[in-house]
Amino acid sequence: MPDTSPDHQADDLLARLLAAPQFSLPPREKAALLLPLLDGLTARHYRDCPPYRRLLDMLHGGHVPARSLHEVPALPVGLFKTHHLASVPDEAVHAVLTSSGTGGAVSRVVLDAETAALQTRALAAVMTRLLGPKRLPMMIVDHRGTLTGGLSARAAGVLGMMTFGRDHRFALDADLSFDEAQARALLDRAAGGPFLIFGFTALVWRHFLPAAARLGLDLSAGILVHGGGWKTLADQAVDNATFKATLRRETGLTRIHNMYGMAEQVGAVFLEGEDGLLHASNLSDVVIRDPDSWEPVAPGGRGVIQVLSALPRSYPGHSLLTEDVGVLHALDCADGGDSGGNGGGWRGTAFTVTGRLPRAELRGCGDTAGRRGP
Amino acid sequence: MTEFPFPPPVPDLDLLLPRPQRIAVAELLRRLDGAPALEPFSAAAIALCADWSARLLADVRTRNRPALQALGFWLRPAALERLRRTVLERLPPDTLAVPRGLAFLVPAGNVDTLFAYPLALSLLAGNRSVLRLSGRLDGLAPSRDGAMGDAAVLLGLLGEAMERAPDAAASVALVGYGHDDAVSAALSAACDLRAVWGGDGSIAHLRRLPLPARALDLAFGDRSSLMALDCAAVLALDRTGLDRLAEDAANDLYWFDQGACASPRILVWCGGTEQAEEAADRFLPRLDAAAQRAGYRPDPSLAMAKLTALHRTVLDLPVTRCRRFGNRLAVLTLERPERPALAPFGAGTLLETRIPAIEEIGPLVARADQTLGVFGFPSDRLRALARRLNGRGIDRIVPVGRALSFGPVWDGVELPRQFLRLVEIDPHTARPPAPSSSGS
Repeated sequence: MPDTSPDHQADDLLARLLAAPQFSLPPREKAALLLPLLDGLTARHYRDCPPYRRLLDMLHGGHVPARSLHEVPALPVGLFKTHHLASVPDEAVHAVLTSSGTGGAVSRVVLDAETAALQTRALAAVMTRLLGPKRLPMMIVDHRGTLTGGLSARAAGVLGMMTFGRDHRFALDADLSFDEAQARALLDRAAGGPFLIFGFTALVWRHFLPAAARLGLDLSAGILVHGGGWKTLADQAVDNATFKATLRRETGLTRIHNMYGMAEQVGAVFLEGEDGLLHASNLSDVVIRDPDSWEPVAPGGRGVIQVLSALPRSYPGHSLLTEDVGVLHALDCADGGDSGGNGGGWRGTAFTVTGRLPRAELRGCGDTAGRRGP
Repeated sequence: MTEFPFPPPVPDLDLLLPRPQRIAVAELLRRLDGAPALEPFSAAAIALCADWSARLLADVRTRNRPALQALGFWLRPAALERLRRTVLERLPPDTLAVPRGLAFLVPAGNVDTLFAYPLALSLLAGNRSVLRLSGRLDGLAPSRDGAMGDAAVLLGLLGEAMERAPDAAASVALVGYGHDDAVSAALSAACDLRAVWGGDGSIAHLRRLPLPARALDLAFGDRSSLMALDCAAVLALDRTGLDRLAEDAANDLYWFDQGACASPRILVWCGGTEQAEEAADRFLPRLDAAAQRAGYRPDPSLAMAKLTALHRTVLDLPVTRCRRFGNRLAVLTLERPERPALAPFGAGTLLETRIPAIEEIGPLVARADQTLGVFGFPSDRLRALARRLNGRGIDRIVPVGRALSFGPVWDGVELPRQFLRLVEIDPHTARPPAPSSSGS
C-alpha cells in the first residue's frame, strides 16, 4: 500500500527539488513543487506550534491554503529574538542555532535532526551546482577559534561550508592578521587547479584582500564564496561591483559569488550568479514587498525582502519577512549566465540586497536625553 | 602613582541659541548670571514669546504642521495673559512670586516640539534657563521629502525672535552636547531647578548627578494614556459628527507616531456588548479614513517594527481579535477589561476593550497613566470618576482631540508654579514689634 501521508508527499517533492540541478528550474515548474511543500509546512506548523497557530488565527484568518508563493503567510524574522517558536517537543531538539543580530538581541532557531539533515542536503545541492561534484582544496577566511564556543551562525556557516572542501587552511590568525604560510600552503596544494575560498564579506575585504594583494598572490584559479552582509562595507561605500573589481584587479580572482541567507533559514541560501544578481535555489524563493502596502513589488521595484524555504520543519520559519531591503530584478532570469560549464543558466527570481532597515525608534516621550547606553 | 588634585576639566558645549558658538560651561554660567534680572511674567519675556508666536503663525512652513501651529496659539499674548492670571492671582495670601534662579531643563530627546513649552514657562517665570537639546531630535534633520524638520523651523524662528529681544534672550541658553556626564554634572551642580522629561532609565541616570541641597528636582517619566468613548454617544452621531470625532481621535493618536505620553494606546468602549461592537464597526473605519486624509504613513522601518510588535502583542496578550487597516491602524481586542501587561506599540496601534460604564474603568487604569481622552460623558460623572480613582492614575481628563494640547498642569504638577518660589511677607511687619518674652 503506497504511503500517501503528507510527510511522505513532502519528502517526495523535496527529493525532486533536490535532484534537479539547482537554479535551473523555470518558475512555473518550481512553484508547482515548492508551493505544496510550503503550504504543507504552514499546515504542519499550524498543527504543531501553538504560537504559530495563534498568529495565523488572529492575523491571517487561520490556515488558508496558499494559491501562490506570495500567499504563504510570513512571520517577521524579529519574532525569533523574543519568542520560542518550535514545532517539535523539547526532547526532539537537536540543536539551537543562535545569531546575534545588529539589534543586540539573539535569534534562537530550534532544529531537530530531520531539519538539520535537510539543511545539510540542501546546502550540498546548492554548492555542488557552483563547485562541481568534487571537493576542492579550501581556504577559510577566518581563524580556527571561530569554530569553538557555541553554535553561532558564523561557526555554523564555516562548519557547513567546510564539508564542500578538503585540505582546509585557515587564512587568518586569532587576531585576524593574515597567515601567509597557511595561504601559500593551500595554493601549493591546489597546484594551479581550482580551489575554494570561503569567508565573511567584511573579513575578506578587510583582512584578506589587502594582504593577498600586498603579497601578490595569484588567486585566479579560486572560487570565492562570501556572505554575511554588506553593512560594514556599505559604511565604507564599498558595493558589490567595487568588491569584485578590486579582488579581480589585485588577485586575479574572477569567480566570486555572494551568498545571502540567515540563521533563521539555513540551507536554502541564495547565490550570486555570473550576472551579479542573487538567485533562489530550487528549495527557496524570495518575494520583495512594498512596506507601504506589504504587496509584492513588480520587477524593478524595491522593498522589504521575504524569504521562503522548504526546509524548516522543526520551527515555523518557512516564510519570513526579513528586515533587509532589496530590489527585484526579474521573476525569471532565463539567461543568467553559465556557471563554469556546470550546465544551464541561472533561472528564477533574481534580486539584490541593498541594505537593512534602520532600527526604528518610536518618537515620543519614551527614552530621551540622558544617554544612549550600551 | 599620580594623584590628581583637581577635578577633571569640564568640557565645552555647543551654545545653539542665542549666537551659536562653542563655549565653556563656566563661561556660559557667568554670562547667564550677568543677564538682566526678569520678574515673573516680565514685559521683556512676554514680548519675546509674543514675537515667537507671531512668527510661528505667519510662517508658511508651519501651515501643515499642527504641532507648531498649536505652539503659536499657546504663545499668543492673550493666552499668556490668561496664564499670568491663573498663576499670579491665585497665590497664597501675603506671598510674592519670584524666580527660582537657574533652571536646567532636559526635555525629551525624541519629541520635536515639546521642549518649547518648558522653555517658555521658565523664561516667563523669570528664570535663567539652560535647555539641553538632544541631538536625537528627529525634527532637526530634514524629513523624507527634504523639508526642514519641525524642531529646525521652531529653532530658526526662536533665533529670529531672540535677536529682537536681547534682554530676555540673555537669560536663555539652548545648548547641545554629546552624552557627557561632566557637562550635565556641572549644570546640575549650578542650578536651582532641574526638570527632566524622559524614559525612566534616563531620569535615573541624571538623578545620579547631585543638585545643590536646596534645588528642586522635577522629573517627568514614562506615562501612558487612554481614550474612552461612550457607545451610545458615538452611535448617536451623524456622518459629519462621526468624522469630526474620528479626526479628533486621529489627532490624539498620530501626532509623534503615537509615541507621546499623552497619546492613547488603549481604547475603552463604554456600553453594552452589542452597542460596543456596532460603535467600533462604525468608528474604526472612519478613524482610519481620517488618518489617511491626514496623510499618515509610517516609514518602512517603523512599519516593519509595528508589524513585528503586532505579532508579539498577539502572542503576549489575551487578544481575541485583530483588525488591521493597512499600515495606518491596527486594533487588537481584549475580551476582559483588565489592564494589559504591556502597552502596545505606537504608530497607530490600539488595544480596545469594553466596560459597561465609565465608572468601571478602575481595573484598566495604572499609576503611570496620564491622560484620559473622553467623548460622550457629562462632566459631573468625570469629576466623580477622578474622585473615585483618587490619584491611582490619570492626571488629565480631556475631550478626544485635546490629548496633546499643552496646559499648565503637567503630569499632575502645576508647572508654572514649580518654576517660581514664593516670598512670604508677614503683614505683621507693618506693626511695631511685640515685646519679647525672652529677656535677652
